[in-house]
Amino acid sequence: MKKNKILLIDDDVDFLASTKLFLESRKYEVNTAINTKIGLEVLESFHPDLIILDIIMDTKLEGYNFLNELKSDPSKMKIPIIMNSNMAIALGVNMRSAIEDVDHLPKTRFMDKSGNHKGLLKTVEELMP
Amino acid sequence: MLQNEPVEDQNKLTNNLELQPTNLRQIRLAFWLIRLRWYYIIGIVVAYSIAKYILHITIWGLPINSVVLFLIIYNSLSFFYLRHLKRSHIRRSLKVVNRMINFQISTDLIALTVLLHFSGGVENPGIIFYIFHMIIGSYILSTKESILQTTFALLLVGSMTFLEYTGIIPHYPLEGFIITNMYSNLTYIICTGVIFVITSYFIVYIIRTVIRESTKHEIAYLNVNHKLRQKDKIKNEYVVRITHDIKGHITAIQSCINVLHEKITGPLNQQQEEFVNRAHVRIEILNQFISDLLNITKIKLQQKYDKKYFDLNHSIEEVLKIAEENARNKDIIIVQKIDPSISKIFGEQSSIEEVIINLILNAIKYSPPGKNVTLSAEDKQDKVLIEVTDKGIGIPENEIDLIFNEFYRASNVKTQIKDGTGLGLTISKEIVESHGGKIWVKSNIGIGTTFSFLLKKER
Repeated sequence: MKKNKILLIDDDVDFLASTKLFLESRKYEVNTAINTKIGLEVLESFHPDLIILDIIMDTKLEGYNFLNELKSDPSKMKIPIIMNSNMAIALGVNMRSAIEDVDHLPKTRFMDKSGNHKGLLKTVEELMP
Repeated sequence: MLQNEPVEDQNKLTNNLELQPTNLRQIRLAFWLIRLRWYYIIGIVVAYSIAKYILHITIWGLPINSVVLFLIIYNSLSFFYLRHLKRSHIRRSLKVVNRMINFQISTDLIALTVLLHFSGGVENPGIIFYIFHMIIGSYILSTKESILQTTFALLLVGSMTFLEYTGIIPHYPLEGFIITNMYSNLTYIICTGVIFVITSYFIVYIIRTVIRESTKHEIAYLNVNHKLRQKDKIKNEYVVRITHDIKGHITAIQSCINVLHEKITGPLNQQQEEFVNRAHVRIEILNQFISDLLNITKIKLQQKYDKKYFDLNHSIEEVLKIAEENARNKDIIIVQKIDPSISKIFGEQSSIEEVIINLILNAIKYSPPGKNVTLSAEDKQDKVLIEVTDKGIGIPENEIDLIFNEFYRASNVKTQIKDGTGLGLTISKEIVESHGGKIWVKSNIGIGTTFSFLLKKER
């Protein structure tokens, strides 16, 4: 059976390694990128079914900029995305309304980043049944 | 993202602090002046009636009644005009209010002079009423304006006395009350005049000095208060930054421990498993604590909420989905009593959902397995009452008032349930209050607890 593919973009190598291992144990094929530049290259060859994206990396809005690039590309705008951030709470904006975009990314979710993978797995399963 | 705002220039700060209360103060004092004038009018009518009908003093009624009638009309018009000014933009109307106060005090002085002229002039002990006007003027107006008003009053009383003395205008004595030829006694007039002038300017000087001192204290107090708020803001921003950095590391540690905990890298021996479990539990608690700390700090820093009309029923459905797993794990059913007439309310949806989820998760956490939790929403005309009731351990009576305090955890839960942060209820309270609502709790030890909060439906 073909495995669902996940692209994990995060600048924390420890989070990246452990989360990759966890998702692979749940029968997903996982590829990682340490920033969105590499993420974009991987995206072209890997063709993920879902992307897990950190928001604050080298710049505070790196994740958002990446999201916007996807929105403007018709071949990628339908890929479900989980926006993951430690700053979810401190950003001080209503993240849900900031990223909800029914036309282009109907399957975008926002999550407060957690090392407990349960919540992440639940959202992944919800977006890729 | 969270940048320090440039530190304000000290002078600008002081000016701002001075300007803001002055606008409101002048409006308030203008209304006070109008209220005083009503008492003054009543006072004239009472004094006139006593003088005429009880003491049988000869007094010409027509001019007195005319002045009273004029004051009634003039005070009513002033009231409506001021109310109109208050509703318009306060900052723009400050000059107009000040001009109006000056005009009113001058008019009051003229009215008093007319009254005195027709009731004995300088012989009338009512001459002391000028002093009241000077006190009021010094309290409301600037030093320069107070001195001008006082000079105007002295000119009025001086002119009246001079004109009566020289016979240019007639003298209306208060026969049957006091000695009636004093207005023509030059020594009396000069002595009274000198004392009157000195007293008047001295009163203005004393009152202006007192006011200047108290304004200095007020500005110093406002400055300190402003600085404290700035410092609190900087502290909160600092907390946000630090906790965010800590959270990044904790998330990575938790993620690594989870791999071991889930035995993804292979089986663990009994001791390894025990310690990984311990680390797993503690890191979960720490992570929750950091999240709550970030949340409460963000709420304190947040000036504005993204408020819109949203469907409360829909929010409740969403919240129940989140709480479902926790309830199922403890064999608890969440009983819903939702008033079907409730639909849209005004507020920040995610924050209100956070309050409801906080209360429901708390109720589940502190309930014994199998005991149901009730969530009710009741329509209260322009408000909505939301309640979460559990049959849990309850809160000790003497701790009810402390339960919403930051980091407070009731004494009977600290030992039993270790994963509370003591911030959930503080967060809920901050959110409800910043939506103009209120939150409270009723509890009986061993019977259960009800958390209630009221929210406005409209903007």
